[in-house]
Formats: sequence, C-alpha cells, structure tokens
Amino acid sequence: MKIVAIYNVKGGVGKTTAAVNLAYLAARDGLRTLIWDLDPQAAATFYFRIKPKIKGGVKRLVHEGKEAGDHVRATDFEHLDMLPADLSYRKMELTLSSEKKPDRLIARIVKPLATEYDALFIDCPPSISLVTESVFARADALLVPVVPTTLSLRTLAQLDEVMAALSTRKPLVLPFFSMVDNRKALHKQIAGQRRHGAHDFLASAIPCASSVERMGVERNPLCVFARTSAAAKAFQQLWSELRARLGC
Amino acid sequence: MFESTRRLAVFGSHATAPLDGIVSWLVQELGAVAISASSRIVTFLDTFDWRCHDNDLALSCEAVAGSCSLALTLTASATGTTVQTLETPRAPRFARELPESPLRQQLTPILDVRALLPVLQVRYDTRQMAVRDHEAKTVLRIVAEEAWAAPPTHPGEEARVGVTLSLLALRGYPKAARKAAKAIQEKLGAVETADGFLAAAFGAIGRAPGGYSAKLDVALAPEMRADQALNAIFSKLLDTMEQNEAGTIADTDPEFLHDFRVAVRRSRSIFSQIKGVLPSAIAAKFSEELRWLGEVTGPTRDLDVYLITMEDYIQRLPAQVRSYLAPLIAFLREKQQAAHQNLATALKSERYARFVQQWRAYLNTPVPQHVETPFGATAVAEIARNRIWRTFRRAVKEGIAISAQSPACQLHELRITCKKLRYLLEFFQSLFPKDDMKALVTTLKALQDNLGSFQDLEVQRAKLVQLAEEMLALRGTPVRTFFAMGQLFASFEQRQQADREEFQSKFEAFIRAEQSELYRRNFGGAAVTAAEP
Repeated sequence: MKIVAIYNVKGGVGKTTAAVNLAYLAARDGLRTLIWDLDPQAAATFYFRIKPKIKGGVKRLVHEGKEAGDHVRATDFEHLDMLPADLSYRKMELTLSSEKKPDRLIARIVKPLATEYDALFIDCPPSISLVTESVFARADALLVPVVPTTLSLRTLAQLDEVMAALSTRKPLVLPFFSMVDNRKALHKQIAGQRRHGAHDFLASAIPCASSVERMGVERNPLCVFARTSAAAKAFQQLWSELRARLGC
Repeated sequence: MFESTRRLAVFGSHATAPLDGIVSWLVQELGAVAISASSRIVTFLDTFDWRCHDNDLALSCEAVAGSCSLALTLTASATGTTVQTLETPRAPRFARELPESPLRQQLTPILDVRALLPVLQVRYDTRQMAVRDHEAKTVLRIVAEEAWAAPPTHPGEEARVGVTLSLLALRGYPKAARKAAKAIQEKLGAVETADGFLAAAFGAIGRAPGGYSAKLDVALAPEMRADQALNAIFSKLLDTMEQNEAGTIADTDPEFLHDFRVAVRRSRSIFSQIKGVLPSAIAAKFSEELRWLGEVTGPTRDLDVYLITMEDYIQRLPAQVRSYLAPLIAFLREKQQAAHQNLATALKSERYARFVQQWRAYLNTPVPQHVETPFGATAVAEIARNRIWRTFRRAVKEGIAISAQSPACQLHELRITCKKLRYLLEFFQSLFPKDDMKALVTTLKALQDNLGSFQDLEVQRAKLVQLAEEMLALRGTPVRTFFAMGQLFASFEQRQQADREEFQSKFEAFIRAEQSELYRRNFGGAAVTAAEP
C-alpha cells in the first residue's frame, strides 16, 4: 500500500480538494483506494456525504488499532473507501503525548489495512504536531499544495526545518502549485518557475477555478460533475505525475 | 467497496410479478432509486455428457462488443462464485481452442476431447438501483435481474425464470442491507439462492442437466430369465447408439462415435459370448448388422485415435518440430473427413434405419412364455458366473504364456480376452457385490490400459509407415516432415517398449491371490457348463 499524505501547515491551500480528487482518480484507475480524513474539520468526509463520526472516537482508534477497518465506509465510487473524520481527532495530540512511541501511531493504525488497499490518501490537518510527524514517518510521499505567493513558499521552508529535525525515515516531498490565478502577475511569475529553494515542483498545477468551489455544492469529485473543466484536467495530470513518481 | 453480496430470488409467490412491478415495490417500500437499465444474453455451454455440470461448474459465454466473455462459475458453492474469467474472440468449441490461461487449465482435464455445445440461453433484463440516506449517500446497491431462458436451438421460445435481487452491501453500511433483505424476504417472499438459478432456468425450458451416461448400469435380478436379462442389456446399448447417432453423423467430437462403437461392440460381444439364449436366427441376423456397423465405423475411429494421439504427442514437441508435422496432421485430417463421409452415409442409409427399427421392435416384444432356446430360461446369474469364470481362466492361461520375447499378436490375443471379461463384468455387475466388482474392474482396467496402449502403438507404427508411403506417392511433402515422422516412429517404439516392461506387473496384479479369490468366490464352481461360444 502506497501512502500519500496531503499536507501544508497553512490552511485553505487546496489540500482537501487535492485529496478527494486524487483518491477518486486512483480508484478510477482500478487501485483499491482508501482516503483518510484526518482533519477534524471533516471537509473531505462532507464531500463524500459520509457522517463524520468514528465509533468510540479517537481513543478507540488509537488503542484498538486492529479495528481501523471497522470504521471504514464505502463511498459512492467503485474501489474507493473512506476512513471518516471525527471531531475527537482534535484531541489526538493529547492522546499521543501519553503514548510510548508517538511517531509510530499512524503506522500502527494503518497496518491492518495494508493488504486491503493499494493506495491510502491522508488529508492532514494544517498544523505541525506529533500527529503530522507520525504521518510523515509512515508516508511514502508528502504532497504539498502551495499557493504561488511569497508567504506560502516560506511555509515550505518551515516544512524543511521540521523534516530535518525528524529522526524517522523521511517521505518524498512533492510540492505542487495550487489555486493558481493566472490573472495575478505574482502567481504567474512564481508558478512559472519549477525550482524554488531546495525543491523541484511537480509540473502539474491546479488552477483557481469556480468549478473547484462548486465541489461543496455538488458534493462530488470534480471529475464526476465537471469532467471537462480545466481544474479536472489538471488533477488528472497531477495524478499521472504522482503515480509515476510513486511507481504504482 | 462491496463487503458482501446476498442473492435473493423471487421465484416463489411473487414469481409472476414482472420486473417492473418488483422495481416499483423497491422504490415504494425501500425508497430505492433506479439508476440504469440494461439487457444481456448469456449462453451456457456444456458437453453432450454434461461434464461441467457433473463437476459442479457452469461455463457461460456472453458476447460483448465483438468478443466473447467466458466465465466459469462454481454452481455448488453458496455464492455461485466465479472462479475463472477469460476474453476470447469467439465461443470455444474445444478446450484446446482456448488461449493459455487458468480457465483452460481447469477445463482441459474435464472436457478432454469433448466439444462444448450451447445447452441454455438466458436473457437478463437488469436494473441497477441504489438506496440512499438523507445526505443522498448511497448505502446499498440493488441489482434486480429478470431472467428469461430459452433452448439455444430455439432462442425465440423464451420462458420466464424469475427475478433475482442481488443486494450489494457497502462497507460500513451493513444495517441498510439487513433491513432491505428482511423486507424483501418477508414481503416479496424471496428466498436466498445458492445454486438454484441454473436448475430453475433449465426447469423453465423443460430440460434437466445431466442424464446422459454411456455406462452400463442395467439392474438385473439373479433369478431373472437369461433372455429377459439380455434384452434389457441390448435395449440400453441400443439407447446409447441412438443417443450418439446425431453427434456421430455431425462429427461434433470423437466421443460420439466412440460411445456409439462401444455400444455396438458390447452388443456384438453378447452375441458371440453368450449363445443359446436368443433364437439363433435372431442372433445371426442382428449380429451381422452389428458387424457391419463395426466395419463402417472402424476407419473413422482409427483416424480419430490417431489424431488424438498425435495432438497429445505434438504438444510436447518444440514449436519448430511441431510445424514439420503439420503436413502429416493435415493429411490425417483429410483422410478422417473422407472416412467420416462414408460413415455418415452408412448411418443415414435405409439399411441402418431398418436395423434400428427392427432391433428395437424385437427388444420391445415380451419374451415368449415357452422358451425354445436351450438356455433362454436359465437364471441369468448362473450364465453370468459361468461365462465370467471361464473367461477369467482363459485370460490367466494366456497371460502366463506371455514372455518378454512373445510376439505382439500374443499380447493382442490377451487383450481381446480381457475386453470380453470386462464386458461380462459390466453386463452383470448388478448381480454381484458392488465392492468386489469395483475391485475387479479396477485391476482389470489397469491391465487393459497397458495392453491397449501397446496394441494401439503397434497399429499406429504400421499405419505411420503406410501414411509415409501414401504421402510420398502424392509428392510435395517436405523431407523434414518425413524426418519428424521418423522421430515419431521411434517415440512410438519407445513407448511400446515401456508398455511391455510394465506388462508383467499389471498382469501380476490381475492374478494375485486376492484377485483370483474374488473371482473364485463370486463366479467359480458354476454348475452349468453351457452357453459356450
């Protein structure tokens, strides 16, 4: 099972949109796919019309890791299942701090799912915490949506610092431009360049589009209701690129 | 993803409710929504002797966009699990036509040389439905499928089988599936199905799968009059001949002719081995017709055997050498077709029709009260014991005389005697303890296989030389084909040598003390020494 975590310490950069659409495209390619909405805001869960609830909350998930599969729910799409969000995820940090090996938590929870799924997409909360560090320790790739602004690029540098301090194995960091508005000169200028600092950005960039905003109304992945939109095409390109990098 | 599938069939009290009625019920009672409708036609294939069915398998074939989608399903399992699927350009007739695949691997030993024939056609009208919650999230998928069965020969004569509802439970939503299943069972009177569908579909067109066997299983009673008993066996053999007639004439696969010929040979064997039971005029007349049938069917069967042996042999050769032998195969095929032409003409002749009609009429006539033949009224068991015991002793005598240097014809003699013995054991098996007969047949069969293989190779070697001469005379055959035939000749010799080396052990098993004791106990010391050939 390949694990892709969609992460940025900054909120509102298109994490959930990316997680939902990429997971959908992976499943459409026939990969047995799971999407885990780790963000207590439960936006991904909302998009799939699933109740944001996990029986017994985070406590049960952390302490009875073998049962992660019991909380999984089928989405309306073939090959695509979801581990929904739960409000109690916000307390995960607390639960973790009393754990012996907090950096192994995510690995432990997803272990029993490894034979059931080919790909796991984790929609991470926008924070730097023990939880996200534990995600980094297990993920194969960290997909980082970056809005082409100076501030956003700085968050990437922050991420590098965090990663450098990690004692665990490190995932492949794959930044890509998100919410690109070509009417803005700065966006155009920054997104026109692939190399920023120590990072090579993925070639695919997701445009800022009204169709993306409509996902909240349609409550479906873009490729379901706006297949031919520029954003949908961009996600398909991004998925192809990601798939090649993951080798799956 | 789907966690489990439950199939509920509405064959019962609501069986007459049309698909639309059931769909509206699902909409009203379960709040289901219809998503899509489609229709497909599936043809089920099996051999004439129902080999798939007998192995609890169903082979279905669905034409999809110019190709054929095959599925092999376990009919005996609770869920009707599909074990193999394969896309082929067209429906296969023989296992060997399938591309290399797990499906071919599984089917080959089951089908052997038998042809696949369409046995059932089913049209499915399908409605995909979904049950959604208040967030419009799908919590259950339902596939409602109405099946219409028809005989493949008359696809227009459709008969309704019923509606099957498949409940596809979605992971994390078991309650919705349970609730729906309960309602469907209670209110629609649906029943959980396992292997019921195929049986129901066959039932709808008035057919039952299975039911053909060339095995002799005539139930006789020990005290039964011999003439009555023989008539019963003859009748069963004539049934087999008639059942295989059409397939033999059409040359659907070699087994039709094989079964036909075995029935002819068995019938002839009764006449030649058991005399003085049927009136001699009858025996003379019909055994002459049976001899004729043996004769007109012989050449085709020989060539069939040759082709089967060749195919088996060629499989093990490198592709290059295989191509060298292609002219030989083509030549054999041509000869087989010509021979079959003659055979078909004979089976379509006046003479054959008259034979079948008169033989059937004779067998259907009750045996006379007053018996005019010497042994017509003798108890069948007495005759059976006598004949089996004598034939066994003769086989022992002939076998003991065989040494490593004995000519092939001596082995052939023993083969004929063993075949007679085998037929006798089979004719009269119902008169003796089942386990004893099974043990005797098993050992005898092993010996027969050895002798049969040896003799076939003997004939095939001679035939190969003859074929080479014919091909040479016709010219145009590349010389490498003759070299490959030379290799083939050598391999025949080698295998024949192996058969000969194996003979002793097979024969020893046949005459070892326990076996002889079984023969003596069941058949030895018969008082009547009559009914001699």
